[in-house]
Amino acid sequence: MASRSIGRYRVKAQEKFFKKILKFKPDFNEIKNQSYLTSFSVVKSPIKILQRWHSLSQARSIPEYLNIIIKFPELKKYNYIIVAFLRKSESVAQVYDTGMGRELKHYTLSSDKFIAAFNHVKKNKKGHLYNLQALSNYFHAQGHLWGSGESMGAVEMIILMSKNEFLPPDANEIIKIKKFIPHLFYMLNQVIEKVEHEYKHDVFMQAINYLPINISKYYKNRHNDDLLWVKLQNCAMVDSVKEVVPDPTSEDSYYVLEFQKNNLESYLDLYQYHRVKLIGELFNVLKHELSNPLFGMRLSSQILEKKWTQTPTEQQLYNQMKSSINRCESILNNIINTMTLNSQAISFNLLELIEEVLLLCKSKIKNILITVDVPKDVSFCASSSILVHILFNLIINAAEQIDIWEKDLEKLESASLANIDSLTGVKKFQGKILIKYFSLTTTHKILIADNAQGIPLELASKIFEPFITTKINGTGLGLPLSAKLAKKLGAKLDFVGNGQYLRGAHFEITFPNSHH
Amino acid sequence: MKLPSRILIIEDEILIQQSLKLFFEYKGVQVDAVAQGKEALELILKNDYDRILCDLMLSDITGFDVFEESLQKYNRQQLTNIFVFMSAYNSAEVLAKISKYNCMFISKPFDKIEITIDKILGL
Repeated sequence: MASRSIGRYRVKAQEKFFKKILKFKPDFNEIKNQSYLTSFSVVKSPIKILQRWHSLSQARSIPEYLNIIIKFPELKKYNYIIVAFLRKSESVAQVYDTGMGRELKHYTLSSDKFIAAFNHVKKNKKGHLYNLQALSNYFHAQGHLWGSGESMGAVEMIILMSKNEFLPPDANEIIKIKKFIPHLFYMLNQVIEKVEHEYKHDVFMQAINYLPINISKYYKNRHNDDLLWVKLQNCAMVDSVKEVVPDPTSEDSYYVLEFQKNNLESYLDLYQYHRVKLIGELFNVLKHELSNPLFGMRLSSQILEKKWTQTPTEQQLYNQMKSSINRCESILNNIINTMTLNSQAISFNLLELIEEVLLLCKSKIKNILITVDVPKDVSFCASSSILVHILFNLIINAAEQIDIWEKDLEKLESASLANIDSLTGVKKFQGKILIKYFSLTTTHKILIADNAQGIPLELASKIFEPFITTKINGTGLGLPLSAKLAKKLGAKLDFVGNGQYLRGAHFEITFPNSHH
Repeated sequence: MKLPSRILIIEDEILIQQSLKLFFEYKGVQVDAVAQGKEALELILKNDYDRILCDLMLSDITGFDVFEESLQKYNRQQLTNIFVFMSAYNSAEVLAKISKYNCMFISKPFDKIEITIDKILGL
């Protein structure tokens, strides 16, 4: 049989690949019947075609995926190949755009626009083919644009292509491409999931290195990453993990984690884990148990206002009370919104949001001079609770660095190094934080800067890695989490150096102009 | 629009209940106020109310139960015009359930008190 001459590894890989393809039910019959990818018989199918599908299944990023498909002979003549997808929990869709002789472009689309485009694509009952000139509002392409949309798991995907001609492609060409579009979606879904899991995998690897658990032996299991990630998360609850004995003849290997009961540090981590879970539940209780009495106080004080405010002193007292009640309600709402991390995009005023965040940070920023350089009329359309989370983290970090720096200065005995007030001769360091908004041609930014000691440039690349911290009780997760949340917003969080406006660290959140 | 003459408030947070009662009374409306659903049902079956302002989470039963039990006296169409649901819970599941009843819904806490009072009265 010809299969023996192909080589043992290749046949194995192709069988695995076929099994994956055949699992894709919607076009199962179509796949089996076409001569192009014949069922189960490796011999009849051209090796080159199998190889290209195999290499596509190995793609680890969307750009890699696109670079492989533009080399498909059937797609070579297409100037525009657009791949767009939206993960159901997110407010921003990702769009990748490439083609013959063109550079890969990546941009985002709001979820509303993506959903409109997706519905448009799915509406046509004839099948996968139609003229989608209406979609040129969402996707930057020219010519007769056609393609398909598919929904798999938690992701909705659109694949479109155009030759930059205004006539539709030849019927035979359409038939050929139509046959493998389902495979393209299947592979695209795989790549999207891989990209999503890479972050988890990285944090998992860091956790292995930094968490106070004893690792007796560990091996890598490429196929069970997700399962192991879930296991690690649940591991905080159990003393030991079932050991999996590796098969010496297989290529795979397995993670094995052992915990020791009498390890005090891992016990404390268990406690922290439970506390965090409990805090989530407590916030729910807080929301309802406090908000009702506060509302009652606001209503009743409004009724009693006339009776209570006969004299100016009484009026003043009443005003203070009203203001306190409002402040309580406001803080409660801010905390609840932040904890729920609603990723739905809403329209809000940036200055008001920043003031809300400052209210949340109040106790940490007590002796710090905060300058907010943000115009009154800037409005955003994004997930406000996510932005609050990021700003809160950055401001708290800045406040903590200022505190550390202040204490360091106090330790310095040499008067010339300390900041001395010339009038009183008293050591005086004034902590400062600057929050500034910039609007540029294609982007707009929010800058957070402090006047503490800054971040040494050698560490700059490491600060966004998980579990890196200079704080004694730090988790090292604040900045990586903020960076990830910024991505969720469709923005980017960067450390841009020290000293531009203030002598300390400067962080910028950059938004594309679509958020305005 | 005609001012409703008699309304029922069902709310177990006493401060909210009594304050709202006064707000409505200043408008010239006769108000009955109770904290428990079962007490409310007795009044609903005995008296005629133009509006029933009902909190969803009561100590004994839910606002939905009060609605369903009131069908002993009114038909569904009449009840959707009379009932006004009030709640501090606005999760997606709760809102979905409320929308099935098609009544007016007031989310707690609310800001513009006078405007909300007028809205409840249908003014």
